[in-house]
Amino acid sequence: MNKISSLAQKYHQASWRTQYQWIGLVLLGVVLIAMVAGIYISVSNRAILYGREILVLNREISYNERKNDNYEREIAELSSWENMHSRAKDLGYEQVSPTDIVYVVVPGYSGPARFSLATTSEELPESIIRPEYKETLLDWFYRRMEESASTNGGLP
Amino acid sequence: MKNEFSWRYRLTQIALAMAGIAIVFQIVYTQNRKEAGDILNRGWLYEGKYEYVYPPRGEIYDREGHLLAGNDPVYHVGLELLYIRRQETIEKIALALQVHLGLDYEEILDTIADARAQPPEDVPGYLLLGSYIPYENVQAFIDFRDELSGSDWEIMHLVYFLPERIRTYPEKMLAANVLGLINLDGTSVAFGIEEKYDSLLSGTAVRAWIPNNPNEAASFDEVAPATSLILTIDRDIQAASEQILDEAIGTYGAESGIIIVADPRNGEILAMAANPRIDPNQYWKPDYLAIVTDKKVPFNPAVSDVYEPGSVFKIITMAAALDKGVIVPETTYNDATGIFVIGGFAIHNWENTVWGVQDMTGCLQHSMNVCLAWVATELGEDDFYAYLQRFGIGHQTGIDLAGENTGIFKTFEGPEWETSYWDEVELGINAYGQGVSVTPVQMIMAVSAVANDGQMYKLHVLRATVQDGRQYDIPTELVGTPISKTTADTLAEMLANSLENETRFAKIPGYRLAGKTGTATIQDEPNTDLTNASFVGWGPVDDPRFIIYVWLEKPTESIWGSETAAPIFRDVAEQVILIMGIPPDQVRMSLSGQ
Repeated sequence: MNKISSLAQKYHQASWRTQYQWIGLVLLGVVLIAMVAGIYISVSNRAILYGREILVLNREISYNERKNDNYEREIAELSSWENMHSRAKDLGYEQVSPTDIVYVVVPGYSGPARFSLATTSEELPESIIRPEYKETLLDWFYRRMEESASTNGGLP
Repeated sequence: MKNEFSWRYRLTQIALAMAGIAIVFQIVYTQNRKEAGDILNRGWLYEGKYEYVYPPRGEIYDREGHLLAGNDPVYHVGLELLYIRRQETIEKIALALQVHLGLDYEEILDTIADARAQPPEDVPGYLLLGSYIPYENVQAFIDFRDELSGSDWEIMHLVYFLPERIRTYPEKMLAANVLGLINLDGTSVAFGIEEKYDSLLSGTAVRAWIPNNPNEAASFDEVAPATSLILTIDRDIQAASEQILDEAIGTYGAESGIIIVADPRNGEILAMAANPRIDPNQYWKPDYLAIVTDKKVPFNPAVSDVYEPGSVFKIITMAAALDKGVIVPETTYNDATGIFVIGGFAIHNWENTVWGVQDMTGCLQHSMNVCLAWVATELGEDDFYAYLQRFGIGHQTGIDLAGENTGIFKTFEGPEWETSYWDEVELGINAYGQGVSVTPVQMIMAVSAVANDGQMYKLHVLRATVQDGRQYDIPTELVGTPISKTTADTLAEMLANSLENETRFAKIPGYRLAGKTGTATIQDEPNTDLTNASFVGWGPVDDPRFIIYVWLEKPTESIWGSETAAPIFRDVAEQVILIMGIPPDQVRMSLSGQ
């Protein structure tokens, strides 16, 4: 009891000790908050920058799509039947009759290929996105297990 | 010392506490007052907006990948009016817009003056100055603006552009009747492929949240691209057919005309030319009304117009009789008087000619009405009309173009309203293509069965669809086998012989073709000499690659199909042979032997 009274006495006489403790605790809290805030600001800053970049890229995509549409239309007009026909005429080409044409056999040639604007549904391109970006951790684990099993000769 | 200042500390504490409480109170009050909701709502306006996002309309290509219908970027141009005070600024902007966008300087000044003359609360923030400005003009303005600096640069940034896409047809009038059209703001489609496949071409609109907050940028809703179409139409054959038809309309003084080129082996339409037609890029011009409304010509007569086909119909009558076995090519008919009586009515040959004894090839060669009427009676009405049904007469072909007509024909059997007007004489006149109305596509599909070993394929214009980088080829569809292969081969041979001996205008040296002319009187105009002249033919006979149908409405230079439609068939067939690279028969046979 005397010992406690003595400690209280000492603290009473040197109150700066208590104040230091409080200041220390507050400063620790401030540092922790500053760290969390710093991390938060850093992350959200990056997110906003990327978000902004996405917005800009989306606008650029739209702009380029419109530009492509315009080019496509220009090319189509320049190579339209009417234009090509008058250019051929200007260059001195003349219409032939069916009997003017000489036909020869080209071994292995079976006529022009059927026009295709894209791959047919049977010829789908492989995805360029690696599976790691599309699967859950569990999927990844199973896949690795299966791969490992198949390289080791399969399960017994 | 402590006591001396403690009351001041206390007072400061109380003042600061009161200020804090006041701030908190004000915050709570501000957030809950009546106007807070309005402010919040106004805040939403700046966070982003909901918009219906439409994918660009799918494109349309011909079978070789030439663009027939695409999209062209255009812009609506407007001004941020609230930030403009000085008249000098307005004049500068108006001048730049006139030079680069082609807008009228005075009109711009008037529009701005009118807007500014309104009460302040009614002055629009964004004032529309022009619509559908071409991409090139807007680009020229932006290039000009980027070269500026200082206040001029700032002023020109008060001009805003809102992008939009409009439909464009780079081949102009080519295949316009097949493609159809769409209005400028894309809200209304009409006719042809544009109407038939509108749901595929327009894609699916998405109501998307367009955020201004960069944090939400990643949450853009994806809009699935629309479907593009590849047609069976061959641009070169289409252009050649249209050119020949346009010239023929002038040469023969016809009112309108149709040429259809198809592949009888699969039903693909290679060309479908119509005259008159319009430029779908400028559908609003008077041409559209002049053709469709005033002249009563359907937008695409090949599928929508019905008419009495005349003698080309004899192919179907003869096919039915041969297939049923009531006649053979060597069967003879004695035309002693040029008259055949049926149901109390006398049927005559054209120009009342008398041909004497003729076999069935002769009947076709001389296009004898009396002979074919006799053939139909030999066949009997039950079988005759049953065969017409099998050939698809009186039914839609199911071609994938909007506005197809069914045609008119009175069946022998059927409901009271259909049979009530049928008379025995109908059998006689139907046999040579009068008293029955068909569409051009019905006729060409029916005759394609004769060209293609008795097999009749559904006519179609769509060859493949393309979406998300994948192409789906549309399978061909066999709709029936109205006659046997033997019958088809026999009749093809008869028609080839008939064409060689009679229809000299339709022949092409080196190629064996089969075909039949048609000249039909027009029942709506009985007191005139006007006719519907037609020709249907195909080739090469032993390996058919094309079938061509020609119809001229009311030619005045000559009323006969043999003198008007037949030469058109020959001209088109020549072009088709060249474009498709079909060698002459002898060359083809010698090459195939190698």
